[in-house]
Amino acid sequence: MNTPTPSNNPQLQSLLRRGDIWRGDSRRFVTQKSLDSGYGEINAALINGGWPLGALVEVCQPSLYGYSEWLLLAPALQQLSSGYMVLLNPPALPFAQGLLQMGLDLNRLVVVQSHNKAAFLKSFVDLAHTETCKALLAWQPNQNLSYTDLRKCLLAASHSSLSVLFRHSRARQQSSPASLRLHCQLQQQLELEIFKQKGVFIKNSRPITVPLPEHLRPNQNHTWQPSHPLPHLQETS
Amino acid sequence: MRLWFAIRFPHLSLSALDVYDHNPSLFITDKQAVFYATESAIKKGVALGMDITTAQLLGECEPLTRNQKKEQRLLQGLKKNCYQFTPYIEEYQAGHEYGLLLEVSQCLKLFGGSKNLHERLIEFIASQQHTVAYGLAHTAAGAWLLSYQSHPINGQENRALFLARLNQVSLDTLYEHKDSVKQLKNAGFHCLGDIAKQIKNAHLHSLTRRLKPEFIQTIQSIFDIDSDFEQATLFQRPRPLYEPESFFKETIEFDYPVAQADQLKPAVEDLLKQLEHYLVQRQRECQHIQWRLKNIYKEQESLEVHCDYPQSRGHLFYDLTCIKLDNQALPFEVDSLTLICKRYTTIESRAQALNLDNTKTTQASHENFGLTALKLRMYLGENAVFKVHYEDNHVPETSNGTLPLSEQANQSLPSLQQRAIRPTWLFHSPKAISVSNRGLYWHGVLTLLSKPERIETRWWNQTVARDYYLAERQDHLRLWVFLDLPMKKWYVQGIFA
Repeated sequence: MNTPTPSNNPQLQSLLRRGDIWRGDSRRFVTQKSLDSGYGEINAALINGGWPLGALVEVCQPSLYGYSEWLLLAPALQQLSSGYMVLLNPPALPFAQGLLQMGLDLNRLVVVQSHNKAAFLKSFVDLAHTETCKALLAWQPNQNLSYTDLRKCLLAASHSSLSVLFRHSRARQQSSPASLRLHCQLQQQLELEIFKQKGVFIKNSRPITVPLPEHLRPNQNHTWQPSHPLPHLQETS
Repeated sequence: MRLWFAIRFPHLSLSALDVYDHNPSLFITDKQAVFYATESAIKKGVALGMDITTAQLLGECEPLTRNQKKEQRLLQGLKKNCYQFTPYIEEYQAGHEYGLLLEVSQCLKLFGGSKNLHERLIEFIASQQHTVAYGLAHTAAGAWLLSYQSHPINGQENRALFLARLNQVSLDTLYEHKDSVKQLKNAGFHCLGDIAKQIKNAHLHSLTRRLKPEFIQTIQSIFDIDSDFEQATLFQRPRPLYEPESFFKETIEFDYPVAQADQLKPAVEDLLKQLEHYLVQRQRECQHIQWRLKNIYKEQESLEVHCDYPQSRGHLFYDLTCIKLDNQALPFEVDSLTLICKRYTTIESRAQALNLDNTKTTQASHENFGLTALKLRMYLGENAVFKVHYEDNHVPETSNGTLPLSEQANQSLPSLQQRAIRPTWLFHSPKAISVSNRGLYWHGVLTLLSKPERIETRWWNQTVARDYYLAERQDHLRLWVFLDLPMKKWYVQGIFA
């Protein structure tokens, strides 16, 4: 008996032509638009040669208190010459001095603070639908986002803008419809692991390293000891 | 020929103070001087422009304070009522006297001639409890002057008759031009006819050289003379077109009281379509609308909706109204819904900046994002959408300000701050670090990585003295910590992300 192959089975042929079926590393569903990440190694690892636009990028990291966002995305944001960059539900207040040192335009950087999951989702959808919002960086609210919630975010991220959702590392175990999922870990440098990328079958991917800026690297031989003793020792509770 | 009807209200200032009896001895003061006086007060020696103290010393005259706002309101109301006769209405004020000048040449046929029009006008104004004097002439200024004389209107008037009447007007009537009148009287002129004769025999220039330009202009406007040609003006000044204030107000009554906000939405949509039609017809835009909800007991609740940008389409107002309705419960079962829009701007009056630099965000994209920001503020709160900016201050939390989107952020960082180590996240308030045997601890042991940067300021008031360090937590997170020198306590203030 002949094994059915696309060439001898018209039904199989038409099935494979469907838009929602992909075959391993066939590299279908490659979104053409991307934004240069600013890091050669990251660009090389991404199917689009940069951060995918019009798609949802999910970044998992050990802390939602602010971790690696600006290090990871600032080079890409610096390339956006028009439109707005929106921070939705950020973990703290962006520090103007730090952002100005990075060369970001504060007139185009907007902060939106949502107070619960419903408000977060509504805001995400409204912002993602706004044509002039060129980059949307969102931090997951306290309540976890379900698959349905993430799908709403994915469907909203349909314009040619960068949409990034930051979640805790615990979310790595949950399934998500995001087109690109990666995990960040700070060691002596920033280590990225891409564990899902639409259009690419990932197996045993090695982490990508991003060096820290000069002033943040520890001096291997020396850590600073204050000249005055630490004031009154107090037991931690 | 144009036909001007002047209606003079000699006692409007008194009517504004709700005094309709002109017999008592009263005078009205404005800026410490007499602005208006009744006849009996004038007989007692009170004069216009007299100092208030002097006027009071003359005795037995009651002083009143002028209410200019109410005078204007009264005049606007009269103007609006005169709109039923003609759309060409001008306000006029000479000293303490107010008046309206109506150009009626286009509406004589409608009212059956100037005599009938005059009768209807006077009948109407008498019903408003105002004392009036009226005059008719071929020029506005002429009609005003003729209001000081009592010429009956018979519908047979013509330019020659008006000129003849004006020639009889005494120069004293032109009390606004005291200096010029005094000069003319000294030269032997007594009435406007003398001036007309002078203009006819010699040129107008003979008067121009000697008298003030304002007076010459008044004479020209009275007699309708063009200074260049010394004849009736060839090109007449356009008549002032009066447009009474109008606003949009429409109501929908429901067949049965509505308890759910969703059930109001079709009515909201319908009313907004009517408003859109109203605005588009008039080439207007608005930023503010008001909804009025009423129940069967006539209790009323208002809902205000405001946009940052003027709109002539209803979509955004609909979205914003729905957000408001969704976020608050109806106060009662709604029996009727009214939409009111009172304030507009004309579309062409909106200034638009030239965008010569194509790299900058265009006005359209500002508006596009502005609409989204407006929606976000509606359901998240006014302070939920903002941008950050740099304020020139040494204390980090004070140097990091927040701004509404409409304002420009200060982005000029001094060179000292450019070189300094600065985090990208700042906590709203510094968080205390505990000190234990292992050293500094904040969700993990901290290791200091850099030399201290001292920030010391406000020595004149609540000294701030801090030594800032770059620290690494045991999970390799970089933190911005400081030692508060007066308090001898450690805090973490920022994160290098």
